[in-house]
This record gives sequence, C-alpha cells and structure tokens, in this order.
Amino acid sequence: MQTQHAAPDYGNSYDRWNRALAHWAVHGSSEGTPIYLSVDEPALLTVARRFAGLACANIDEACDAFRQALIEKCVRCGPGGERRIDLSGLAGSDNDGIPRSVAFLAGMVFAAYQMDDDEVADDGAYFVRLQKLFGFAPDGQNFRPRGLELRPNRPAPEESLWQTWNRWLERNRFQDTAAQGDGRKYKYSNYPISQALLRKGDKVRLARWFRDQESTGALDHRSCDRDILAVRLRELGETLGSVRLKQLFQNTKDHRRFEAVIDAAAEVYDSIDWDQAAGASDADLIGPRRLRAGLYRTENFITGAIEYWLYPKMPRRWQGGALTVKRDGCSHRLLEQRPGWFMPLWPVTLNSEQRYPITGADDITELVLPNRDFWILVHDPDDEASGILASWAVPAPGQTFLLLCQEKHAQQLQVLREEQLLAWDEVVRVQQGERVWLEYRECQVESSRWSRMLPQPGCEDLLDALSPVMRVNVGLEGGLRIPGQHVWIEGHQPNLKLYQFGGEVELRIYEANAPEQLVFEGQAVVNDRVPLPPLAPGEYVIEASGEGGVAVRRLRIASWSQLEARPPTRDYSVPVNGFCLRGASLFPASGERR
Amino acid sequence: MARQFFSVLAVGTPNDVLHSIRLKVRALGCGHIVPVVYFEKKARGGQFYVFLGVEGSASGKAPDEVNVLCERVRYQKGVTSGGFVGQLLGPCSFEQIRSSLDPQEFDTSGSDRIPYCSRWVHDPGDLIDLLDVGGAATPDSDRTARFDHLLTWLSSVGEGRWETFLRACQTLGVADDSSSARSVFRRLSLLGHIEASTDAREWIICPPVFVRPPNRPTRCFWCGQRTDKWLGRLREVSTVLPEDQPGSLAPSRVTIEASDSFRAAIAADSEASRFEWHEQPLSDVLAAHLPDLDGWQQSLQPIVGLTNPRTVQRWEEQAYVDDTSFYIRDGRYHGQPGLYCITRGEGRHQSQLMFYFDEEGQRLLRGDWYGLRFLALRRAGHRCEALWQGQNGNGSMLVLRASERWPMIYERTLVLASGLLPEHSSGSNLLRYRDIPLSTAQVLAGKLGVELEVHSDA
Repeated sequence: MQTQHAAPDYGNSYDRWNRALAHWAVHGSSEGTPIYLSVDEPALLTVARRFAGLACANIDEACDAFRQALIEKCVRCGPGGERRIDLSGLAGSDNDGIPRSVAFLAGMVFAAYQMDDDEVADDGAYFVRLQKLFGFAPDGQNFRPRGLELRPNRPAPEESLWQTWNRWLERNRFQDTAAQGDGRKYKYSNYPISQALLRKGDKVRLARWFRDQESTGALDHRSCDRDILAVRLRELGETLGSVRLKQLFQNTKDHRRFEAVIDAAAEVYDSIDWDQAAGASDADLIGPRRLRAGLYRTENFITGAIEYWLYPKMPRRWQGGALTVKRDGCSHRLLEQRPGWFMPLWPVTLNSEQRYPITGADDITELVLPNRDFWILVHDPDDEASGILASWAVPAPGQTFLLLCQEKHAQQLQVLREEQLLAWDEVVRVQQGERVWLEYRECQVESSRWSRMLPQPGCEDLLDALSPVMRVNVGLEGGLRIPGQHVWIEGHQPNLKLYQFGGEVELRIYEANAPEQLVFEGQAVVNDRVPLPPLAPGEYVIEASGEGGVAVRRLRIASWSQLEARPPTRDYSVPVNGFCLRGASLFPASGERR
Repeated sequence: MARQFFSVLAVGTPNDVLHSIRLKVRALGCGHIVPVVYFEKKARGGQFYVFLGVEGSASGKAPDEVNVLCERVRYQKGVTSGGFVGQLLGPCSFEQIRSSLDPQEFDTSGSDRIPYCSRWVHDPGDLIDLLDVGGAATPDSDRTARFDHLLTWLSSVGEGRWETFLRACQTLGVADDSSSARSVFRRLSLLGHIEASTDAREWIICPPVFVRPPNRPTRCFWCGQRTDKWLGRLREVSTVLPEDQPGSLAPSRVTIEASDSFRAAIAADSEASRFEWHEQPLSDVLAAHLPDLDGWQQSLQPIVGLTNPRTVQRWEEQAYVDDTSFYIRDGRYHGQPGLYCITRGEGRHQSQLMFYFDEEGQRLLRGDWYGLRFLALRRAGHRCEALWQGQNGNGSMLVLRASERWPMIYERTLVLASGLLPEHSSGSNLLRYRDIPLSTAQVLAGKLGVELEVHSDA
C-alpha cells in the first residue's frame, strides 16, 4: 500500500486523523507483521505532525485535537438531549479502502492507555475510561456509554468495527491482533486493551526502573540492546513494582504479544538520555534517541575472510528522512535495504561498544553497536537459499542459525550439546582484533527441555537467549520462490512443515479471499512434512494453533503469466572502452544509454 | 570425570523451587559446578526430591558451593513458598537416579524434539570456473520451456546471489549441481540475459533490449529481461518467432518483425517502452569498441590479499598439471605466467581459486575462465585459428576450436550477432557461430591475434 504523509487539507477533521492513523499503524512493517494499534500520547503527536500534517506544538495539543475530532464525528445528542456515541458514520471504508472507524478504534485504545496501573482490565473499568474520553458524565448504572449499549443476543456495536479493521489488515497482508477476550468480563474490552501495550505512566515507570537497574549494574546500556532486554526482562522483571508490568514481561505464552511488548520497552530504553539525570516525563520519551545496529555477515571469496558489517535497524514506524552517520570525518547516508533495516555500512571489530553521531532527525542522535559477547545471526528470511546471515530475527523452532560468541561461552555450549539440547555443524575460530571469537555454524535447538539447565557464570544471557520458546513455527521450504516476497510459482509450491516442541497443532489453510474455501483443516503432525494438494494460483492463509498461540503465514501461488519484471538495484556493467555493457544494453560510461 | 548427583528433599511447588534454585545459582555464580537440576517424576506438590548435578566432585563430598546453595534455597515457613527441607544426600550416578526421573527428559526420538538438520552446503568450486560441459544435446522443447521459465523467474526476481540461482536451476530441472548450473549461468550471460559481480557471487538481470542482427535489418531478437506478460503484449503488435537454441540448452531466441508500426506501438506502451533498441547491429558496435588482447588483459580485476596456497596447478595444453614453482614471498609473485588453479583451506573448507598470473606485471588476474585460458595460450605463443565460411544465401559461419574458445566478452559479441549460442557437434572440437559478418570476424580476430581463414562459397 502507498503511504501518504500530506493528506489534502481537511483541517483538524476526523477523516484526516482516520487516514493518518491507518498509515501510521502499518508504516514500515513488512508483510506478515502483527499490527498493534498501540496509540498513546507520544504516538498521537507523531501521527498529528508527520502523518496528518497538523501543526501541533506539543503532546497536549495533539491529544486535544484528536479528542475534538473524535467528539465532533462520533458524539450526537439524543432525543432527550443526552449525549450519545453514534457509530453510523463509521461503517465501511473510504474511497481508498481504509476503514472509516480507525480513528474511533484508536480512541478506544487511547482510553485503555489511560487506565491506571492497578486498574483491572475488565469491561467495567475500561468503559468508564471510554466515557471520560468522550466527555460523558459517569453513569453509576451503565458502564458502557450511551450508543454502545449491549443488546440481548447481539454482539457489541463496536465489534464489527474491529472486525473491519482486522480484515483490512489481512487484505494488506499484515496480521491482525485484536480479538475478543475470554469470559464475559473481558469479552469486548479485550479488543482495545489488547492493543494498548503500555499504559499511561508505564513509560515513566519503566524509564525510572531502567535507571535503577543501570545504577545497580543489572543492566548496562553500553552492552544492552533489544534482544538482550528480551532475555533479561524475564528475570529482572521480578523487581518491577507494578504487578501488571511484571506479568507483561514474564508472560511468554502469547509469543506475538510478548515480542510487541519488548519492542515497546526497548523503545523506552532507547529514549533515555543517559547523559542527563533522571526525572524524565513522557514528553522526553517521544521516540528513540539512538538507532541500534545488528550484524550483517559476509565472506570474502578471495581471501576467505569473514566480516561483520554494522547493520542499522530502522526505528519502528520510520517515516523516512535523510539520516546521515558520521565516521572519521565522512558522512554516510542511511539507505533502506528492506523493511526494518538500512543498508549495511562497514565492517566492524567486535570487542567494544561503537557509537557514531547521526544527523538529519530531531530525536535520533547516534547509531550504536552494543558491546555484546554473543550474537545470533539467522539465514535471510527473504531468501533462505542465500549464504548471508544477519541479525534479522530470533530463530524460530526448527531453524538453524549462527551463534557468534566469545570463547568464554564454549564450556556452557558444550554442556548444552552433551545434554542433547543444542547441536551444531562445526565451530570456526574468527579473529576479531586481539580476541578470538567462535562461530558455531548451523546451530539448532533440538529440545524444549531446558528448564533443568543452570547457567555458568557469565553465560546467563546466552542461556536465556538460546532457550526455546514454546510456539509453533510455520516453515515453507523449497519450491521456487520470488525472494523478498511470499510468492511461490505454480507447480513449484513449497513444502509445509510445522515446527514445535511436542504437543499438537491445529492447522487451517484457506483461501484468503474466501475463508470458507478450506484447503486443510484439522490436526497436523509436527516436525515433519504436511502433505498439501497442488495449489492453484491464489492467496492462502496458513493458521497453525499450538501451545504458544497462533502462527499465521500467508502463501501466494502465482502462475508464470502473472509474474512482473523487477529491475535490479545493483549494477554489474562490463566496461568496454568508455562504454558500459550490461547484457545487450550498451551505454556511455557517463550514464547515457545508447 | 563423570557428573555426580546429590539429592535433597524439597517442599512447595516444583516451579517455585526451580525458580528459587535458578535465582540462587545465578546470584552465587555456581552454574559451572551445578549445571543441571532434575526433579523427581510426578513431583506436583507436597514433598519431592530434587537432584543437583555436580561437576568436579572427586572426593565424594559436595563442594562448598553446593552446600551454600542448599542453605540459600532452604524452606522457611511463612517466608518462602517452598524450598529444601532435607539434608544433602549422595553422591550417586546418573544411572542410579534415572528411574526417579521423567523419561521424557531423555527422549531423543519423540515429538518433543526437533531433529537436527544442517543446511550447510559447501561448494568448493570457483564460480568463474564457468566451464561449459559442452557436447551436443538433442533438441528438446520441454527443456527449452524450462529454460524459458528460468529466464522468467530471473526477470521477476531482478537480482540475487549465486546460491539462489543454483537452487532455482535445480528446482526447474535445468541443472543438477553447481558445475552444471555454472554452465547455465555462462550461457545466459553470453545471450545478454544476466551479468555477474566480479566475484561471481551475485547476479543481476539485464534490461530488455531488441537487438538487430547484421544480416536481417527488418528483424530483431530479444535479450535480457523477459516475462510472459511482455511476450503477450508483443504478440498483439507483431509476429513473434520463438526458436530453440542449439541443443535446447538455453532460453529460446525470440525474434520479432521490427516494422515501423511495431516500433510505434512499443513506444506508446508504457510497459514495453522500457525496451531498448539498437539502430546498428550490436555485434558491429561491440566489435569496433572492444579492446585488443592487451587492453582486455589490462581491464581484468587483480586479486589482492592472497596468501600462499595449499596446492597449485597450472594449465598446460589441455589440462591442469601440478606446479611447484608458484609462490608468494615479500609481496612478490614467483613462477611461470599462465592460468592457475589453487586450493586453499582444509577438509570441508577447501576451496579453489583460479586466476591468470601476469608475471611481468606482477598481478593475479580474475576474469572468465575461457578468457583466462585463451590469454594463457596466446601469451605462451600458441597459434589460435578460426575459419569464416560464407554460405551463399544461407548466411555465414565462424568456426573455431573449443579448446581456443574466446574470452566471454568477445564470444558474447559473436553470439549477439544472431542471438544463438554456438553449435558444438558431438565428437568434434569445433564451435560454430552463425551469421557472423566477415567484417566482424576480421575485426575481432585481429584484436585477439587469431589467424582467420576465409572461405566463401562462390
């Protein structure tokens, strides 16, 4: 889908907010990403300024503008003069297919965000907040605002709007995450509450807690990035004062949600100005101050040398812009390589933290490669056949990966291998400056029975990072694929394999445009090929439900006649006496084609 | 020394006790002494045994760290929800406690495990070793269709790595292995469909071009990016003539009648207007602009950073022979000039590297393998020959020995005169390039120092 940042001038209108919020929610996300409509105050300021083109000076102005637009659109006076919510203008989609209800749903999420830390997330507590958002006087008898009353034997009025939003996400090939809750008390409030990853005040609480952990040495911002936070928060989260936050960081049952929560927490972590004293407010934590870098591994064919390149990660919902990294007096523009990542910059030596100043953005000031003692690199998710490995993702069950670590971890890894929990193909020594690192190639976690393992000193993060998460991984292997897209060619479809450590998986495969057209439904074997019939060209949704939640993957089958030409981004022209030859295309070396 | 186990009675819930043990082990930093902990099977609540696996317990007594750990995990009524209540017992071996443990902990075959499957693939070959296995193959329209599909796939991907190309060739059944896939790569490159990076690890699809052959001014053939959609569009505005390549070893040659109305229709089509046109036959233009052999050698990429290899072979006559004279010392290369194949690394990491050693210029040069071989032949004083045959009314042909195959860029010039790969008859060592004008043959032969014999049917 195309992203528009400068909509036609509707003023501070509901429609303007609606379009801006829809674009903001999915901006920068790659196909298949779970989307949370996690609207909070800083997000409203970002949406207002960068997506809606509104000149809001600060968070308060943005929030007021948003509320005003919502109220003007959605609040009417009833026959008795009472104010009530009117959803009649929110059904369906606009001319561009964007659901008309996005801003209203964002308002519902914003109300969930306003809940206090200790408020129970049930219908009663939640709808009181929603009433307050729309400026309704509290009603002691009915917690639902007028206009959203429940009718017997009918779903809640707002549920269809959530379903429209979910369908829009699916049509645009993202994963929807809003769903009913379990039980009567949480049935409908779960829709907005599930989207509000962090509540108001959580950022400040987290920022203070991060500073406390830094002062005790439990965390060190020089060596800690999002992936290290993900493993440390599970243990360190015990010391959080908020029971709700503690549960958030320790509940790995819903893997998708856990990853989204970690992303939100990492954003808070990267918003902290470590050079300034504590006392941050939300206004100071609008967005990350620093870009994080992972590693991008290459091998020089001539010399055999292995290099690890600085691989900058894009901030969430990056709106674009001319970011420049400075190094040794030279400026290097950050160019997008793929959704979520900039092009690799230069080879690095891995024995210290590396920081480079960034210009071109108000909030972001530096690019940081943390001083870690291990890295986990995975095969290219867009092109599994390529030999490139990088920090793209955490390995899923059944996936092999490369573990790059300092020698101090060798003994711990050997113990894991002897316990038949981890396997690898070989270990190769790689010199990095004065230190030797080890590459454990083609590592794979073989078993989920890690609870008996106790980490050796200094290996706690490594053990936690390698410990498998109980979830199902939908593997599409082999066949003939268009790399970078979830498209396989008719007659060369992939093999389907569901990886999970034991348990059962309920599998459902259906046509994306016709969910009733089932290809498969029922229990499926794990860790072995699932036979599929030959699939005709079209789009299919694969839903695998296991113990760790639901894994969804889309599969497109294209016929040969549907394939479109894609121009290359690189240039391997052959020089010919002042000309360049590319295939049968000959043009002067100055760039003009003949 | 085999790991020993000490057992201790515990109360509470196993999860709480485990959590407590993990916290204390981390705090004490004794995970190297107590690397594992097991729980008695069916331990649910009440009392159960916990088994601590201990390293380095030679004396039969538990190390001090283990005793400290036990004290830290001691149950305190009203304070902790669970913990140890008994004394440390043992040591005992794993076999002695095994029957007390959940057998699923050791199950190596059940669905609780995901079988290990390495995806490591090592290709020891040098990717510039684009040796065409050659020999004639019988025409096969199915095989041509598979090659056409390969070109369509390459066109829709745009660019990629060697490994992806290899996988696609294998999936489509046009190559079985790396060696045969390299031949496919070379043929596609000759036909102007793809280009490679200098290390041959990456490829790009080339832009779509209508190339005019020298002998048929009203026709052109299509090089580069190709999709079924574009083919369909062209069929709507012109006569499209697909033809198998010799031996059906590459995508079909697609020829189009290039009338004025066709050109106008293409220019008006937003998709097809991407196509380039050549007013002059490209082979003529290339022949005029290509450098001579010295110039070509100068354009080759030098290798930097090479160290002394494990084994060295040098091309002599028709094969590699062992060479003990090549070595690198004090920044200088020593040995005879020629085409080399060296082996680096050991065991499964062995890999080959090929280059031309320019002894006088003190450079190791990379290029296409046939080009480097040709260079080695010519620099060694070998007399390379070619025969041009004019066939009255039936076009013309340039014939040369397969063992004297020209460098890629020159051979591509010959191929782009007709859009057809050379014919290579079984049993003969000859390559036949169709529709080569005499002038083109003379210019190229002159630049490469090839002796050209001319036969013309009167």
